[in-house]
Amino acid sequence: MNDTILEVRGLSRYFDRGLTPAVDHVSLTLERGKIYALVGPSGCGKTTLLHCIGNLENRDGGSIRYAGKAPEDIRSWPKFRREFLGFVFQFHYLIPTLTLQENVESALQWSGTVPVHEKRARSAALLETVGLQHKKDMFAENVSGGERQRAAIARAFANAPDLVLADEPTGNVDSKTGAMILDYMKEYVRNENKTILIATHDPDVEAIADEIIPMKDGRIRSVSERS
Amino acid sequence: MLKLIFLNALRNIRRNMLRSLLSVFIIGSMVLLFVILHTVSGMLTGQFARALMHYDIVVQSRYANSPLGSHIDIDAYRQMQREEGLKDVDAVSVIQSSRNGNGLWIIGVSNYPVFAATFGILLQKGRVFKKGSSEIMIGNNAINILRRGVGKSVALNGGPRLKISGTYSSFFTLLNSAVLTDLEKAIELSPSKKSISMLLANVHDNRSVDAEITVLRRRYPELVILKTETVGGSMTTLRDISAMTLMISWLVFATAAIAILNSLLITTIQRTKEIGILSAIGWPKSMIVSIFLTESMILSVSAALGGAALAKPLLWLFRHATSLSVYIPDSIAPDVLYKVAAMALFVGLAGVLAPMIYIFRMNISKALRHE
Repeated sequence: MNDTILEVRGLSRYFDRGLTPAVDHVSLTLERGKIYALVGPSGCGKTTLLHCIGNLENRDGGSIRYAGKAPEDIRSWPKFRREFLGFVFQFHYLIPTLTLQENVESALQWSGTVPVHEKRARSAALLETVGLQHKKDMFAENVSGGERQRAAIARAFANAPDLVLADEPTGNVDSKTGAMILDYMKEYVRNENKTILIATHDPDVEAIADEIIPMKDGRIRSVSERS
Repeated sequence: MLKLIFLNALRNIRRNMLRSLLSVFIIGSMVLLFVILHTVSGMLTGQFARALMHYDIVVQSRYANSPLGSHIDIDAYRQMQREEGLKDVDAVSVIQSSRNGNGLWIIGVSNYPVFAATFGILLQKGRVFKKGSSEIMIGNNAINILRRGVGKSVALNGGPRLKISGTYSSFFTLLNSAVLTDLEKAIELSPSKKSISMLLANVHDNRSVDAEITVLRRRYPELVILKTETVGGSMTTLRDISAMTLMISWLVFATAAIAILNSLLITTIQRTKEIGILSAIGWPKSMIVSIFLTESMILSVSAALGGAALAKPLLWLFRHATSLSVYIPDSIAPDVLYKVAAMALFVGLAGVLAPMIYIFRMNISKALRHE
């Protein structure tokens, strides 16, 4: 089995008609079973890089391969995002008109990997894992910020994606919730042999990462591997 | 999947309750207008044209917009009865009257059995008026207008008292608010005392209708002689009403569609980030559009149901609270309701067009950054 889950070569994304390089010739390789921390100051291009990797943002140059597969070979991006990619955003980004459980189910709805009758049970189990089983029928506006982010984590991991792209997942939660989220991520990577790329400022995230990817002015500096 | 889409749509409507209610109100008003116009004009044009199809030829006076404004000299009628090419030359006299603040039509007919068969007159109580007598039959709506029943007498248009011999109903709803009597009696009650409104005739050989009409037009230049097939389109009033209804129908369609489109576009732009989130977690854009389509359909169908439901009481109100001389029916034809259902479907689909374009052109990353 190929251990490379993502290979990025010379990826660039410019704004302001090409005047502002948000991501400038970035190359990186991510392997299975590892947590990567993408670190750098605000505005250095971390979020844009995550969006380009998730094909949420167009790229102006360079290439990406997902487990050896080129973007051009992906016939359905919605299906690919459901099955291969998971997104965690800095702000929870839950759908306000759905309950916490329905929010988790919304990621499972289109998944062919989960039988219909299991989807409800699976979403309940995921919420239980993040300690929200008692609040599954509540709407996002009626729970705390930390609880919302935990529900968003449950949604991102619902389909057991191969690669999770997390943008400041602990940026807006208290330290206890942050620790809980990081524990969940660590377990997920170890147990499922999956990969997480986390854009962060949080030293606690850097502490659990297998590799640190420093970024500045849209470029990646040398990648440091932890022992 | 469908449950989530439906729940999301329903809760979004609730979240934007005021805007949703305004949309429903606007579309509902349009539907109401549509139903009333179609009911009134449909009654006039459709039933009239259908009834006249039993004859080959319709005759009325020149420059008449309707039978009400038509005055054919009684001598012309007598002469036309003697035309070799014609058979069944029947005369109808229509006189507008009013009673107790309501419009009432006095209709005199020369050949009651044929008229009754043509217009589906069903005797409900009593008997048919006797030819040459001072008797009348009254339609089932005219009972309420005259506040008299069988066996009683009533004076109309300042004339002598006439005895009510029976009551009737007709598929031609205009006749239900009318009084039927012998032609001669109706002429007596008319202001001119000598004219009739319309002649209806068949030709001996129905393959020569056009030829017969050409002959008659030469002989009676003061009259308008038409084939019944073309009468709906030739009678100015009916044609105008049809054109007006069609125009207003299009306006109604457009206004209702724009109202819902505008409302949904605003809500779509407000929910840009939500659309971005759903795209990021793998919802196909077609399914995201289906949330808005569901919302659009819920709004348009609710509006259509509300508008259609209010139409009947409003028609009743028009009938009873106004002194309009124009007859207003109190029932809505099924074909109008089918049109309303089609309209709701059309408006619902049209309403989602702009959101659909917006969603399909959306950059997900930009949508996620939308404030």
